Amino acid sequence: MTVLPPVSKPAPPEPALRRTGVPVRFAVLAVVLAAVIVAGIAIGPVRIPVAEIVRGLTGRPTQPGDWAIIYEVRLPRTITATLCGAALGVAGLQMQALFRNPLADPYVLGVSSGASLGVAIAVLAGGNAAAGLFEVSFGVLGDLGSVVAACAGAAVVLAIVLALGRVARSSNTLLLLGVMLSFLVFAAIEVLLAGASPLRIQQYVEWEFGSFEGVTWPNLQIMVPVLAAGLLAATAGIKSLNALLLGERYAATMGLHLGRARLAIIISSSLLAGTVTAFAGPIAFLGIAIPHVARTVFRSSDHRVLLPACILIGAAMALASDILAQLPGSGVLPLNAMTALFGAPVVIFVLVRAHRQEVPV
Amino acid sequence: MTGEADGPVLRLDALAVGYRARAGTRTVLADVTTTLAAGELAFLVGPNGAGKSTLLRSIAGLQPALSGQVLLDGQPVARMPRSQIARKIAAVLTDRVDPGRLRAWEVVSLGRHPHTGWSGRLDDHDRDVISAAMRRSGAAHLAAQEFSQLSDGQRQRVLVARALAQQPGVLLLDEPTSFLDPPGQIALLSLLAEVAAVERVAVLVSTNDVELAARHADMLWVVGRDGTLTAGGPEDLVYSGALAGPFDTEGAIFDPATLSFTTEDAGRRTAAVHGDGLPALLAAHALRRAGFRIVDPPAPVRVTVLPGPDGAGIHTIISDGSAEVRHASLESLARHARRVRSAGHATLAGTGPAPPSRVNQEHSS
Repeated sequence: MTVLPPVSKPAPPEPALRRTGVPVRFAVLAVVLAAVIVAGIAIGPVRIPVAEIVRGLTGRPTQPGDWAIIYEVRLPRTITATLCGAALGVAGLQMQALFRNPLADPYVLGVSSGASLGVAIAVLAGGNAAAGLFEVSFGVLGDLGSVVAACAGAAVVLAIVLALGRVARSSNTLLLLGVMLSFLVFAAIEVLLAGASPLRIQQYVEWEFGSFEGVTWPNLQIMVPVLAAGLLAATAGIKSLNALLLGERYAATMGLHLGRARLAIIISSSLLAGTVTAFAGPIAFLGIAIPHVARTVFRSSDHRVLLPACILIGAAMALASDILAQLPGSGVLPLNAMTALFGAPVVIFVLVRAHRQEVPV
Repeated sequence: MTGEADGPVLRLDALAVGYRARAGTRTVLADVTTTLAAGELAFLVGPNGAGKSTLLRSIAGLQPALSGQVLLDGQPVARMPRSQIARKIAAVLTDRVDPGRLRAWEVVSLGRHPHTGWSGRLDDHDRDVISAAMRRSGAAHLAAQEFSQLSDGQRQRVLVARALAQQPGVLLLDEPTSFLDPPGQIALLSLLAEVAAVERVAVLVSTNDVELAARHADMLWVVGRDGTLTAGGPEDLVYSGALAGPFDTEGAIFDPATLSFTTEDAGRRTAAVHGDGLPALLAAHALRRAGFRIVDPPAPVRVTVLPGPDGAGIHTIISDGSAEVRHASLESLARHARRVRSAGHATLAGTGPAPPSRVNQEHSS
């Protein structure tokens, strides 16, 4: 067909476009994340000197008590927080691209609730119906079956939101649909829990606050590979996410198979959001806030930059929230209160800015 | 590839387009059979709601045809995978584009989507194509700017460049001039004519601006109110009446001489203008908007254009045979003429200049 280049002079490199500072910004983010990780290991009811942490992590001898705390408590918590933050950031990024809506994320659209319902159903169907529901499932979940159920629950809700969203196209309607679905799902969970003992209800409420505590090394053996798979699948879909920046119909004219792209995004973001919810509870606001922080830091909408940025920023923000929630003297605050402290201002900022630009959606 | 004997790139064969719903099939356009060759600029015109966008979407493969087929280089689109269609057809749609913080160059680079591998990584050839597409569209200087900061006209250029970066054989544009001011419309259409001619792309533009289409098109596809499509050269369709037919509207007529719509003026009072050059043309214009039909002399109302004292204004004398009034501006002449028209058969005698407020009342009633 047409051959454009010969018509014109050889293309000059586009100097104005070189994003100076992208590698620099990634380097700064990596340093920040490393610092937060060290802080996450150091800070807790028992304070561990940084020198001890460095010695321990590099395999040199340390105080036996310190190493036990690092290995049994702080390291699993740190790994859980960083991975869950990265997963929530990437899932939020995917959903914002899929729905063309800056306020979409797993929590708002009810996907996290769907994951909760999946876990509840799995545990109830798993024989030990009422007995020790939460001891077995929420928080200290070592059961691959429950992870599968959580991801399935997440995927079902996401598919429903997507189907309803195609009928009601307005972006605000979509968010309301997500909120309504959340109510429905939580109502279903409460029906499932009817007759549970006050202790279990207490445990349920605590789980709902969200926490990266209590995930053990055996738990991590399931969580890490599943989240890694989800992140890899998301990375493989970067090209579709970029095509969707111009809207679904433009993406289709550029050769994107919409059905397949949607399915791939549903699968990978459900893996991410479902697994996080199974281990850490439904965590609010991180999924919305992280992609916006990434866009602001890198001044870009290119998903080849945003996706790794969301991983780094998500890991750092989740871990920082967890550290703040556990600061000595503050008692142990709910994690969701901390993430809201970070996330709610971001959402408000986005809403106000969208309104000021009078974007007719 | 040398494009000497350009065969049809795009062929529509007994195509019917519309919507399938549970309540039944709604056919918007039926039995569309026509072709488009490389290097041709065709305009798809028709009244609002006649099915222009539906036809474009069906050609682009965004919605299935009800029957018949769309052939690209002789192959049916319905049996091509999306990625292959995207290497042959690119589109500029009416959809609002809000690509966040993407810069113009990045928006254009998305056009390489059907040509790149799984990761979307661009090689040197891709970069060359992108830069060439931006230069061709006159958007090269916008490369580093954020798309959201551009004006409507600049956005359209960037979106045309994005479509060209797909290196298509067929370029479809749905109402690309709607949000542009008149010079912007002309500039975009000359750009498209150049793209068609130089890049040997078949360009199909939908618009309801039939005047603009008739002036720029190599081919016109006219959608009628009866759900049929007539294709042909603009002048042939003007001569046969096929162009004006679908737009037939009470009070408006298509003037084949100027290829434009004008107000119905049969039955109006007539006036003649005596004078030369631009002053005479403008005086005639003033009389026309005052509700007169301009005819060759003699006419009951005569306007004589006087050479202005210093060329600063156009002086005229209006006369109906019984009285003559001199005016120092065409605005004043037109106001006078409106009064003559509304006074019916009253003569000029005794109709002195009216206070502005009264004139305004007449004008607005």
